[in-house]
Amino acid sequence: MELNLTFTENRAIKILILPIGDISPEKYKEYSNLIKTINFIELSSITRNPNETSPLEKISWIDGNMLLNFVDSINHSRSEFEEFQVYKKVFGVIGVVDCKKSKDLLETKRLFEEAVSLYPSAVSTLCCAFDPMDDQPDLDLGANLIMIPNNSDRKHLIFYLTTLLIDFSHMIFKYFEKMVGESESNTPLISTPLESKGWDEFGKAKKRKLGRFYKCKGDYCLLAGSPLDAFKYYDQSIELTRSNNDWEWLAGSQEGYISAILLKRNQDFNSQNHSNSLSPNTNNYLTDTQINTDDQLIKEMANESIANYNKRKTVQFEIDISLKFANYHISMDRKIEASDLLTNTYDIAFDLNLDDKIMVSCSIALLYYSMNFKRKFAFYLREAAFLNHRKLNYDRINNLLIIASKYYQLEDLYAKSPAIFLDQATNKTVSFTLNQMKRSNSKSSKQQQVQQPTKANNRFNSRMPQLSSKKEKYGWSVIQRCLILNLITVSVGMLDSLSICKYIIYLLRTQYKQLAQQKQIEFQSDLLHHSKTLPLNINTNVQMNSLGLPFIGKVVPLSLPNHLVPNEIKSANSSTTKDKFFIYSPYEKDNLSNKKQKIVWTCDEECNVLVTLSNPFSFDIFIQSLTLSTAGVPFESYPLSFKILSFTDSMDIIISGRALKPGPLIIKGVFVRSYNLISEYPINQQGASINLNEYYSLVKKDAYKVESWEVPIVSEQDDSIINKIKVIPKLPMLNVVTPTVGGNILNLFAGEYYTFNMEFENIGTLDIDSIQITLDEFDKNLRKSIQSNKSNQSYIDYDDDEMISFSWDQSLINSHLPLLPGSSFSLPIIVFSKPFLIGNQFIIKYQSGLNQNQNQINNNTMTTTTLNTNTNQTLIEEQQPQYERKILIPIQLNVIHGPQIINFDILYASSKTLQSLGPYIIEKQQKTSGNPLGNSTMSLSCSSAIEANSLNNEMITSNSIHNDYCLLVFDIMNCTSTHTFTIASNLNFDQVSFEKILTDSKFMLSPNSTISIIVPMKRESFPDVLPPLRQPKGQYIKPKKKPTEHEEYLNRLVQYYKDLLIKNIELNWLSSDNTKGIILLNNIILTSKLVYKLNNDSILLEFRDNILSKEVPVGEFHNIDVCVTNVTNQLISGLVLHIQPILDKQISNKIDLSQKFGYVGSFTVPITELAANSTFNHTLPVVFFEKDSFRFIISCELFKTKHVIPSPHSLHIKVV
Amino acid sequence: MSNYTFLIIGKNDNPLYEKENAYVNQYIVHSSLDIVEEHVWKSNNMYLKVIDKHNKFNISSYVTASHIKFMLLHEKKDEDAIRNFFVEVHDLYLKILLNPFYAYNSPITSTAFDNKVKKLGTKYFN
Repeated sequence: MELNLTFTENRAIKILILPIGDISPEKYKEYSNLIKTINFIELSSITRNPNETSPLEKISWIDGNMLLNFVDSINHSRSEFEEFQVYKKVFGVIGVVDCKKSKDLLETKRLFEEAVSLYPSAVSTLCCAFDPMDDQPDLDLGANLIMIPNNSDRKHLIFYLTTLLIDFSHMIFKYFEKMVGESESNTPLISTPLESKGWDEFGKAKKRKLGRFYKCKGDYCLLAGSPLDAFKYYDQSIELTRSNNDWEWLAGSQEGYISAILLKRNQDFNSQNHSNSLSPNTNNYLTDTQINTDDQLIKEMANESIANYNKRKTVQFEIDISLKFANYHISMDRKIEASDLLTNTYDIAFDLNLDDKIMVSCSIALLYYSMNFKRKFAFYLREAAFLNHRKLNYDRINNLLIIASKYYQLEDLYAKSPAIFLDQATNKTVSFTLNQMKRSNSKSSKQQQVQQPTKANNRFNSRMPQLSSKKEKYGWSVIQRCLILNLITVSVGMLDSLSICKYIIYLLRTQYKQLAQQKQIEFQSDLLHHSKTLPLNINTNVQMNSLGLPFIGKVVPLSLPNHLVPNEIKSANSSTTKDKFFIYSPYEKDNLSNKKQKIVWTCDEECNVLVTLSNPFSFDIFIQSLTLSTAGVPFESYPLSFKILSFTDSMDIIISGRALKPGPLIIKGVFVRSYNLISEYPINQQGASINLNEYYSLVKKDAYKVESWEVPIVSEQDDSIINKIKVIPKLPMLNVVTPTVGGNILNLFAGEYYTFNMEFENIGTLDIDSIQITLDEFDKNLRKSIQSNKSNQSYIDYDDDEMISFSWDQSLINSHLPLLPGSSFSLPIIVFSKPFLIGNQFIIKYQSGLNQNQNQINNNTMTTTTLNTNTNQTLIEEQQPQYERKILIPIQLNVIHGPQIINFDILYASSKTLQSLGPYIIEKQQKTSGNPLGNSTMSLSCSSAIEANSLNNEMITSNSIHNDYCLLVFDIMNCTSTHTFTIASNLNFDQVSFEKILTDSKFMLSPNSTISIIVPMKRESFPDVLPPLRQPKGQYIKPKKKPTEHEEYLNRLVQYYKDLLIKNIELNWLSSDNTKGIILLNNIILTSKLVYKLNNDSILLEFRDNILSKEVPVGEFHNIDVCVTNVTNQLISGLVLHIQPILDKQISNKIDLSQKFGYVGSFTVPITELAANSTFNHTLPVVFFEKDSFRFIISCELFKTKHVIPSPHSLHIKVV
Repeated sequence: MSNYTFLIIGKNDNPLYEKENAYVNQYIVHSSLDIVEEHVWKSNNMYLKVIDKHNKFNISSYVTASHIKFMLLHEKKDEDAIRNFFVEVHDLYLKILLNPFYAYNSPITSTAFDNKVKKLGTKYFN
């Protein structure tokens, strides 16, 4: 029984190829394959005597051909039905000799002859000695031993061999002619083992002899390549055998007849092609009707033949012809018929012996494969595997199951295609029919459909669809599970622990949901047992084409902790700023916000990766080691060993390692060793676990190439790549602590001065050569939340940067640089708290020396060699981004009010008033009597002190009652309920003439109480030049109404005085906690009205002689004398003097004053001009009609500015 | 005919529903899919009758308009019963399809469907 039977077999001449002498299997294969290429002998190539007559009357010498069926001696077994099936006879023997090994050619010849003698049916022999050496002359050893000349050119060699084979086949042909020409009487009776040994056997045989004889003749004609002669003999044979009920011979004749039809068709087709090429217009012989009639005939013959075999219960022959017929169906594209036939064939084969059954099963499988029925193919392969099971041929079962498994959607079980042997077309029939195909195909592809049955073989190469490994896995879990269990069983039989482990892992990984818990545990113990016998270096990816247990979900590299994240130093001359035409672009901002910060690791520092594992199985998995798999710079991964409990959905593990060199680093995945097996779990660029196929496709895309810093773009969502990491050279490590600030929050009173220490310690291994401290604002959200609690806008001082609250001495830092490893220093930080401050973030950037030098060099080149721009540019290009480290220390200020000004006012005061205040002031005595220089704790300059002193003295002596002073009254409240404050004022006499009298006094302010502090200040005229108005920060929209000139002047005045006060008045406090600070004056509200009080009056209004109280009798005229004095050095014009009489005790408004007194002149006196330092005297005569008490108020109005200067005094007249 | 195997195969060669006895039967049904694919294009009917056999088993098939294959492996050839069985299962399948929570070509997990199919099986094949 042979595989892949076709009707072509009936007309192929069996030639045996034998290895002779010492020859290696490779050489033998090479030489025999060379011979096997020449299986088609054209009759036209045989040289004949033209006068010679042949018993083959109708042979076509032009189109006829002989087909050689080369069989390796190993595969050959003698059939007992050689007489019945002539084509099973060996007609020729070809020996293959390797001259290099078999040097003694005589001995070789002897061996060959010995081998040939085993095959008595051989009529033609040939021994080919390949690769003869120079010292092996072509001895005349007889025609049978031919030295094949050395020739590297294969074409030449084949040509030589073809010539040899033509002669060789001629011998066979002659034998066929002889057999056909033989007459009936000379031949013995032909019998087969099927014949029963009955008493009437001889008689029967005699009757049947002729039919059988003709059948044999037909067979020889067929072999010789003459279908027409074959028809003649077969017709006779069919007739005779049918009449004699010689069923198997009848069936045999019919089988031969079919073969002859096909051969004839083939020849016709070839000849037609020949003629077509000469005259293309000739009619097509192979019409559809011709084909159809042929086809009909073949079908009838075949069915009859099967039935005839069936009559004699010759199952073997029945199967043979069924398979041949099925093959024919396939060639005619009748798949369903073929399938039915094959199904029946398999049923018939039920009674055969085991080996034949296996053979049938395999044959059917192959036919299905050629039909592209891959599931049927797999099914019959599996059947074959089961039949083999009885023979315990584990190797074969394993192979068959492996091939079949591919078609049960288990492709990913194997790395290489297991069915690859089919594609190589190594088996016998495929090879010779293929060559035949090539010939006919090269001539025409148009008529392919009606070609030989061999057509089917073409499908082995072309029609089979590609198995898609990308297709998802679909169901069929039951079948797959069975198959894998079978494979496990076979592997156990083969003692192949590796395969057992592989299948168990595969089954567990794919079907854990369908497997019962108990079963899983059993599998695990099997796995445990078998994995122990495996060597330690088994990698499941390579040896099993699968990942191991457990599952990995995600691998995410983590960036270094915040204070260790390397920070790129942006070079000042970076190209990005150059190209920008617009200062602001919305796209840029978008880019910045979207740009995920790429992870940067530093060399030799521990870095972490988060691995998510899951164990859905019903058993615990012990992971012997879990390490990182990386590409790029060398990386040392610290292995981790742990256990994952059963039914764990996800388990996060952090593994760590360190990069040994700076450069690009790609995390490919993780290595997991469990059950003694290492698996490399690959991840994609987003860190999610992927399967092996995806991994290989990534490898093909160069995703793991690390030649440059630029990472190749593989996926569209490139910004989400997380597995590419930059490793930069070592950076120093600095530890900064603020030991006195608990929780990074400072609780301070407004205006408090506070100092705390910041400790710096180098904990790394590198020197720190530069430390830069800058302050930054808090995060926006934090700022908002803090600010929402406070509404202290009035405190904002425009002079300061409103956010800076800390100050320090940079030189102190510099004096400690470079900071050696292990050394430390502390830096005092000074805080001055204001109510609106919320604190700042300290940004401490530090780096080791390299950069600075480089920057310096860079700067130098920039300045000195500006001409040589080329070198400069290269310098910039070469400059790798430099890194530094950054520590963020947020210090939040929690500012509450201690002593706070809640009210502010300005009052007029004369020197006299000030004096009268004296007794209420603590330590006044000491101050007035003593030397102001001696007891001064303030930082007064000498001159100002003297000035103040003199002023003081002058004031006391003059004892003036005029309002040449004003009092600044600060109402101060203690907002705390816990602290007591001692307040002292500290005045600056540089710019303002304060009254010295009240300075240097101290006040106690107990909790929740209020005191007023009075600061006397001399009124002086407004300065001529005022600083311009500050624009409020961040306000770009101008007010709609433009202020008038005067309004603006007033605003500037207010601003000037507020600044003046804040600058020069310092109210220091000392709390009961011994903290120091000042009271902030920023929240005082200064209006223009108040400011004018500070102005020294330009005009002095007086009643003559300063007599402020008079007694006047009724009805008598009395003069009221008013002096208006210009105290400035300038002429004042446009003055109006008002005199206002009022009743001292006015009860009602309705009283008409004119009835009470009379006057001469006007209450309103215009004064056109008043020269400097001159006095204008005005006298108003009045007469009183009633006894009463009157009061006269005088005021002067500057006409231009409408500014009214009141007199500090009034005249009181009592009418008696 | 109590011994029968019924499978519904989806468009991508994936079983949607299995009512099986022995795993061998699944192998047979799986291999018959090739034949079904051949038959589908040669007939206008959904019911393809007996399309394949293996030893004593016959395989009947019914292919819906959306190329969902109903495969029945049985011993006796009772065409009417099989046809009715298929038609009624098709009805049930359509009802499953109408369920908005059922995605086309995904495994059928409905126990109601399972019970009804089993009932139909006993009705026609016992």
